[in-house]
Amino acid sequence: MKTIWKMLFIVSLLSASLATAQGNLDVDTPAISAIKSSMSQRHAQLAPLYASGAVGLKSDGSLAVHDANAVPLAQRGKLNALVAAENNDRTALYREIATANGHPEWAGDIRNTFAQRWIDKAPGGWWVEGSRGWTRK
Amino acid sequence: MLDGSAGRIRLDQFAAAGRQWRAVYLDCRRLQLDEGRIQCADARVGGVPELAGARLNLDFSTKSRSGRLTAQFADDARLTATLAAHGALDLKFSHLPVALLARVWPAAAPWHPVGALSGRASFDGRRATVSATLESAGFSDASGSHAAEALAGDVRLSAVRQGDAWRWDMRAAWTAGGVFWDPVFVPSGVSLLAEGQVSGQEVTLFSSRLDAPGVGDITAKGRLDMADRKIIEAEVSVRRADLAVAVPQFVLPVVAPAQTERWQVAGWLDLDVRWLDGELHGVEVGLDQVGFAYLGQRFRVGPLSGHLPWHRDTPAQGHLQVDGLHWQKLDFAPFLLDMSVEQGRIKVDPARLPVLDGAIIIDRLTVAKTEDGWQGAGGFFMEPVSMRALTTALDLPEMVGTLSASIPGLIVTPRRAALDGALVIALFDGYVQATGLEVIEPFGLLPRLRADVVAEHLDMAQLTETFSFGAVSGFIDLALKDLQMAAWKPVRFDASVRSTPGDYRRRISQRAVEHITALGGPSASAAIQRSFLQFFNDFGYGEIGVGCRLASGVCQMEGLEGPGADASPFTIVRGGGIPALNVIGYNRRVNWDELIARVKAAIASDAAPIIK
Repeated sequence: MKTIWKMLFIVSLLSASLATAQGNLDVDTPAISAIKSSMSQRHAQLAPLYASGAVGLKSDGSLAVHDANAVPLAQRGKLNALVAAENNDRTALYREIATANGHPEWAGDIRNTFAQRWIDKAPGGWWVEGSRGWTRK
Repeated sequence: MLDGSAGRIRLDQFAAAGRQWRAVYLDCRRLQLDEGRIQCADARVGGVPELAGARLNLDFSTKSRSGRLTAQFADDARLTATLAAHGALDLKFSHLPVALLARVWPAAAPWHPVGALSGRASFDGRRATVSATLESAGFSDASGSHAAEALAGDVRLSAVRQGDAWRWDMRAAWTAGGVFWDPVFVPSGVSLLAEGQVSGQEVTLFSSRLDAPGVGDITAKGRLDMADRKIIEAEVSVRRADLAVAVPQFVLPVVAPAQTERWQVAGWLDLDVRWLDGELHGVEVGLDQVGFAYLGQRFRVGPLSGHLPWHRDTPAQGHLQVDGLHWQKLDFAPFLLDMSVEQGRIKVDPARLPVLDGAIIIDRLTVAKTEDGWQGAGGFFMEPVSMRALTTALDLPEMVGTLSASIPGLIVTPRRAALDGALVIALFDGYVQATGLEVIEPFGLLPRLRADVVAEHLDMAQLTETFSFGAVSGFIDLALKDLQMAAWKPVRFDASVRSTPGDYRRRISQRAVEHITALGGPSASAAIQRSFLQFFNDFGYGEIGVGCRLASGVCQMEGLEGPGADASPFTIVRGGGIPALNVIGYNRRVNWDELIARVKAAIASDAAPIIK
């Protein structure tokens, strides 16, 4: 009996990963366009912050303040606001892609896939979070 | 007796700032010991690495227990301590490095303090005074999320012993630099005046006044129990706080960091807070010409003035005069809200909010603190607003009729607004009803709406005239199940439009045929009895029926026959009467954006169909 449950569990895991693999990450809806447009407008402000190490890419698909010292003191509040706004957009993006695929429960898997994409595509010099903590690419 | 040659003074143990050093010694270049007087000139300290490099001069009389110690550090830093025979201690210091603090006090080390301290302090058992100036100071933790730079300021403190108590007064000014204490940045320009008394564990603040940019004048007085870290009684008043400065600087970074740049706030705030018997007893908030706007102009409130009180034991009456409320393109006329405020709850009296030629009536509204934070709940209804006025104000096609609504239950939290019950709008001789209506993050980056909508007996003549769709007589029913919108655009729904059952006149104009044909895609056609058509402007029909299931930007269409294979034609209009026509669609999968663009283009072209 135990073995049957185990097999069923493995089958369900496999089908879940197959289902995720079939998801369309490039799906476009008005909501996704709105989020992408918002993120794209913000990128001009974030780019120098990635390069200076002030902001890094986390392994969960979000951003984090990596080294606030790289930003003048009076601008650090704005740095926080930028990171918080970008993280809001990213969470919404993962959720909307999952919803557009008809599977809201995929949001977590989509977040993980995007996290790897962001980190893989990050140019040299940016700070990224891996299994051993922060490293500079 | 020593006569001035070099010598060493040893101390078995030396304690300061909570630390102990053992085997401390002074290597004096010239050491004199004469009848209880110790003179050690040009000395170096050993055994205290933190003071390596300092040069000391000591002149102390063991008989009178008086003397002087001077210490010379690098960069012109100097400390002189004088102990008088009657026990008075006088300290003078100039350019004393704050970094020295980190060397002798380990807890300060992770903050990397810098700066220079100059001034004077004295203590004679009955009186203590401190006068100090700080220059070029700062600190920072490793991540830089708690840091200060280029700080300058001065402080004057004097205290006099009165019996068992010390009576004190102080004046402090922070004149330059800034502090970032995640997530708030505070610039300089702060000054403080205070006087009070310390007696045992109790601190009494007779009066204090703080001036800072944006926060106006803050005054405070009261008594504090330092042992329990508790306010026994106190009064704090804020006068004329400039919300345009204080809210973006102190409030938004804490409560809505992602949206600090989306909210604009203006106006003035007065605040009085009172503690009695160790508990918060009352709060009075005064608002003057307060306004706030979200995303520029889409949502704007103000000017708004009023008084909001809260008393611990008794309900208090408050009021808000709202002279402006603007949402999208709707302007509300001024209105007054009276309310009663009690423990964890604000109850708004029934009120009338005039808008256009009607009004929204607040039947009941309560804002209460719950386990999940603040939550508003209430019931509303609408005095009829003419659709002509509403559609004009919203830049929509002009509609006739009236809009009236009854919202029996509305729940609002900062994250979500939901209707408990149905929103019913009388429209086009029929009605539209929305149930399960909720808006998530209405003020967020991506507002999301969910609802189930049904409409019955909508007069097609009014509807088609309103949207310049041509002319269709008859009535339709509509069902819009599981409607989901993001950023006010549809993302998902299951829609169905059908002729209302019944006996009524059913005619459709040539233009309407053209526009309905557009719904069916480029390959749709009007299967019409061509030989008669050129003589007629309109035709009879038996039934209209079209459905669209929207998902992933694609509308899966169906006609009167219901769902079918992608390649199978579907009937949108079934003919009836003379002359009759059928409108057939052939493309069941249509891109939603293309469909909308096609219908808009067909209506805009306003051309009569060419019938051959």
